[in-house]
Amino acid sequence: MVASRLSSGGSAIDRSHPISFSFDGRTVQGFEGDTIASALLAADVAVVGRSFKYHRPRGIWGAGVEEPNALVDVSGSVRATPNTRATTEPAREGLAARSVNATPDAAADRNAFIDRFSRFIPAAFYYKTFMWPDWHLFEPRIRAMAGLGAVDASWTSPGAADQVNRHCDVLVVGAGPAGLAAARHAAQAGKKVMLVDDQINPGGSLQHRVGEIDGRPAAEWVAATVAELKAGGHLVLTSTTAFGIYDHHLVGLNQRHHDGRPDTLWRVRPRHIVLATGAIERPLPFANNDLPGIMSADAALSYLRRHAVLVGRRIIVATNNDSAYEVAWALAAAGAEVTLVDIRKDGQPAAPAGVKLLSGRSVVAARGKMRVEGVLLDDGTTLGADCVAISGGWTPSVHLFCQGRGRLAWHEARAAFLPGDPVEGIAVAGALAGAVSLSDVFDSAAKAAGADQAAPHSSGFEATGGIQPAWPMPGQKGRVWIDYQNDVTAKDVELAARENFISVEHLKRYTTLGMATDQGKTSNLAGLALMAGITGRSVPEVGTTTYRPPFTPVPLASFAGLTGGELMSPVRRLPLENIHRSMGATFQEYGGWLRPAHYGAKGVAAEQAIQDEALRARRSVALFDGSTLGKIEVIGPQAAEFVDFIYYNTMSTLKPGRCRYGFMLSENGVVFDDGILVRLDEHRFIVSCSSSHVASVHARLEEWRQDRFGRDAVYIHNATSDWATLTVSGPRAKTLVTALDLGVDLDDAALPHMAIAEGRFEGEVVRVARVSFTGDRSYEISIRADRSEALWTRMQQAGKALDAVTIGLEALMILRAEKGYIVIGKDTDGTTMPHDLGVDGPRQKRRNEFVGRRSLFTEVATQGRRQQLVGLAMADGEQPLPTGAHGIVREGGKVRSQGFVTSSYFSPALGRAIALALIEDGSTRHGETIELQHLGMLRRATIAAPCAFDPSGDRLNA
Amino acid sequence: MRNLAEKWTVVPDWAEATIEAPGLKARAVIGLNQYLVSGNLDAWSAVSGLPAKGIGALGEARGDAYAVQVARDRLLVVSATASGIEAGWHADGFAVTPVNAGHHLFEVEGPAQMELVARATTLDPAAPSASAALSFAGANAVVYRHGGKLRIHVDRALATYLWTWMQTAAANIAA
Amino acid sequence: MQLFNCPFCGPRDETEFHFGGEAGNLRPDGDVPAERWADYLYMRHNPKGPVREVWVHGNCGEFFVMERDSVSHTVSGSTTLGGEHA
Repeated sequence: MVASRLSSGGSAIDRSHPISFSFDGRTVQGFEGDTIASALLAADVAVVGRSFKYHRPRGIWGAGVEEPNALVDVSGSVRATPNTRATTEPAREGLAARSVNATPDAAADRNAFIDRFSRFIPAAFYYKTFMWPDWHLFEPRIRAMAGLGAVDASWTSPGAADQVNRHCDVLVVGAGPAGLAAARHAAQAGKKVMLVDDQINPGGSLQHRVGEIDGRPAAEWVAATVAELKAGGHLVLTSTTAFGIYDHHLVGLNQRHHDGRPDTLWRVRPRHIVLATGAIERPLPFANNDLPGIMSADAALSYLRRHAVLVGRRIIVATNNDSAYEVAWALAAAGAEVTLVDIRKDGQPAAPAGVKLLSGRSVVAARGKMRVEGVLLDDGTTLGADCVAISGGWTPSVHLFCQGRGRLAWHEARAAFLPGDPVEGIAVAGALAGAVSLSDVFDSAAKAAGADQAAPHSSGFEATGGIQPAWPMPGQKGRVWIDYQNDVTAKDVELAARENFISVEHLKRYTTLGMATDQGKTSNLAGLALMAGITGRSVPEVGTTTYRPPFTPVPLASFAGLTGGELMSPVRRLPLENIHRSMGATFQEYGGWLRPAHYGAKGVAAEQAIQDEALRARRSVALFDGSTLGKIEVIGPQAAEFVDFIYYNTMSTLKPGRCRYGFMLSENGVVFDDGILVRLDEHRFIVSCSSSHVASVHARLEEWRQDRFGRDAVYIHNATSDWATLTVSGPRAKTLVTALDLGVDLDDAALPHMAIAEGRFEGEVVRVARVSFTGDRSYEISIRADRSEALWTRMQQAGKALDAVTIGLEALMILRAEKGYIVIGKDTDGTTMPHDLGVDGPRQKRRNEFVGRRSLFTEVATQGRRQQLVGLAMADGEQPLPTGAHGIVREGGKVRSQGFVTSSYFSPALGRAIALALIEDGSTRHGETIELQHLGMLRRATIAAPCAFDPSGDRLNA
Repeated sequence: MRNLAEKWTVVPDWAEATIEAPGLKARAVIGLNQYLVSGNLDAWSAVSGLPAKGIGALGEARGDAYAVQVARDRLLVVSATASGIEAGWHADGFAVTPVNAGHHLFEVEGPAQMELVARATTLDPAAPSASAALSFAGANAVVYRHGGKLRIHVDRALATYLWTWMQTAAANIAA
Repeated sequence: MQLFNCPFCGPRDETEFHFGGEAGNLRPDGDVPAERWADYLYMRHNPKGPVREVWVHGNCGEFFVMERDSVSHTVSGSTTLGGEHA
């Protein structure tokens, strides 16, 4: 046994609650409060995974989120999650952990042989090799070997993640000594405080470093401070990572729950942010520094104090700074034989009790096969060891500071990038700000919180900021690991430099240093410092790569929140939807609305049902729900001038009680929407735009109102959802509407086609508009949406005696196509101008300004070869043309498109196939037969007028 | 042809439907009169007897008839009885459009109602906003308080969506 | 997520707003030369740094000019098209 669990101690574990779980199939014992890593260490499991490229055996490096090696896929009694960090994942009864990137398991990986070919697969090998004869041959195999964990195919969602928005005066990130002190200062100053920490328990480094604060043990001070904050009504969240600072200081938090619920996302807008995110210990560079048993010195201390795990019997602690001295002392006090190797010759603290100190010496290589067995020093001595705890220095966690647009300043004496010039609204405290001793930490916290009260009196293990940089050196012997997770060595950095990828961003992407799930937390600085050494630059001249959120992985479910399923892209509902459901409608989604496509008896195929509806509609009378049509009111003293400007057609001449069909253009002259404009009185119009364009038309109307006419000229009220519009169409329509007894004079002289009148139904106001989308006599009856059911029911009753048919949208589409009535965006595209649709009068005649006018006279608009709306006629018995089929022209051996089919149906009224199309110069080519091509098939059709049925329009008044 | 109605929750019977969770109860409020008025609000105020300035976001409305500010020059007027003010243009300089059915009204009561607000909107509840029009669960809504309860007006066509959203959020709040 | 100031409603999340183009691109009425009309339709300055842009607050419908920095995202001011300030 190398590592072992001590019989007492361990501030985080509860020995009265033993648990067991499995790792790679074998049972591991632990206690509640253990992480998977601490329990594995206690069980002396040395090899927990295999490295990404070379499949080298790897052990646990650290004790926190920076862990590069110990990734495990968990399942069993916990929700399956790949690639979790064993160092932060709580151990649970019945949990099953599997190592990643190893088959069959970490201890006996069958791909371990790959390491022998390592020199053929350095960084960026895939840019140069496995290309010939065809890289597709190799890609599946390489892809199968890439990646780490595996997704569990049987995974199910835990449900919609909660997302909470919050505002506060001060958000403190990090509940270590600096964060706790800053939060306390802010609370005492009367601010509303929010304190978050990504660990399960608050306290940060105070959970394993000794300290006395205000005369009592650090742990007591932590507990008391947290209790004081909570009692004051301030929110303290643990297991909560501040993963990013976004624009205008929005902070994203991801809160883990430990009860199976999905994580909660918090979006916090604080007035001030205090960052107390600490610092992360980095390795020392020497050959084979990735062997299992080589770990972070601070982690070794953490496992000892929090989990009562002694990581070795003969431990070498190698360092270049003071923080490892407490580690060496504690490990020796726990019973290990400890040698402390400090590269500094002088200026360092005295040797701790029970520890043998070697000054001015450094480790140049580690020896061992499946775990470390010893080290070689620079003076040629070899030392035996079963664990090497190393500290190459501390890298302040500046990520959030930089995301908040902070700049970094390099401090040579500290060998660290520290936050530079202050950023308004963001203060830094603690190790992040460069504090080393506990008293420094508390001073910085008081400053960050803007407090003038005294910082707590504190004492801890004596440490100064003294450090001797120990960067990897150019030409260093052996394989020196820099990025453990992506298997990047010092030689890879040298390769990048040779290939001229010397900027820090190129270094990152060429070698993949810093691109793994740990995002280079333990490796970025060493890599860029080595690049500096190779290229003769200073560290700040090389600089850091851009820091981007998230700081640690955040489940996609957190970002999704409730947005999923039917909450993803909500569809709008008709007022009478439940009635249509009960009538057996088959629904489709049209322009953002859920609408009946057809009704039809059970067992009847959709196509047949639709044909039947379209045929019967022209024979008797059709009932149809058109409630989705826009109804935007334009009201005011300049309403008439306004609609003249908005529409292509002159609208100010429209009389009250009349309707007119018109186009709205965009400024580039393209038809944006078509629809009916209704004039109710001198100052009041209703824009009846297409259902799918209501929001955009509304926005355009407001823009012209505010940007050209002035707010007092006209007012825009969107009343679309206030009205249900029920349409009665067909030869028997007038009979049916008469039976509704609406109090409207239905005589054609009183209510001609394109007129509107007001009536009443059971006391409710109704508007009756003679508007037709079918080409038959048609009445659109609008009533308050919440009173529409009674009207619909009465229509259905009245229709029984008249052989009425209720039709859906599919049948309606056939009816309008028979008449050549267009659907914007289907029979028009992004180039179609009004004269392409045969409506040229306003362009020729109008003199006043309207939207898009100038565009109608450009060269492009007036030259030939424009695609124009036509009908396409086919012989009887032919199948409908495929929509999208292109009309082709054969010119000099080549084939080119001259337009395409936009709408195509079988017309039951005509008993043959019909189509609408946009064809070059089509309006002057009626009678010409053209070829159409689609998916290799050729068809023939004759260009004709768009209206195929009742060209005289008599049926409008029939 | 697949029937897409299967994808979407059936529209509830608004007269009966409730959402209940610890500290939270939501229901639809049916039958109030609503209209939009834009323009010279002082002139409208003289006619209606209501103040020309409307309630802002999460502001407190009182009584049987009140106005909520939805834009610089527009109010949503809510009342138990019909206003008697004609729809259309008024020569005094204001325009009126009824939206009795077009705006669907939800009411939420209970101590956890602000938890719902914290999930539905990014607005700072402590900072007043002149207009009560805001994004609520991603939908354009008018949100204020009345008699200690939260009132949410949303476009009728999106009422079922908002109801389903509130059911899901209430379950999260309860957890 | 950015925080923008509607001149009437005050600070709201950017998701409540919609971009309306470069400010100052006034519409030339009448029979202007094609080049002038094309400029109005398609040409934009798109500067790096301080910009003046038209935005609309979707919920209240207010169109306004926002002065902001396209690099740092700092918002310096919002003015309605009628001249009222945030």
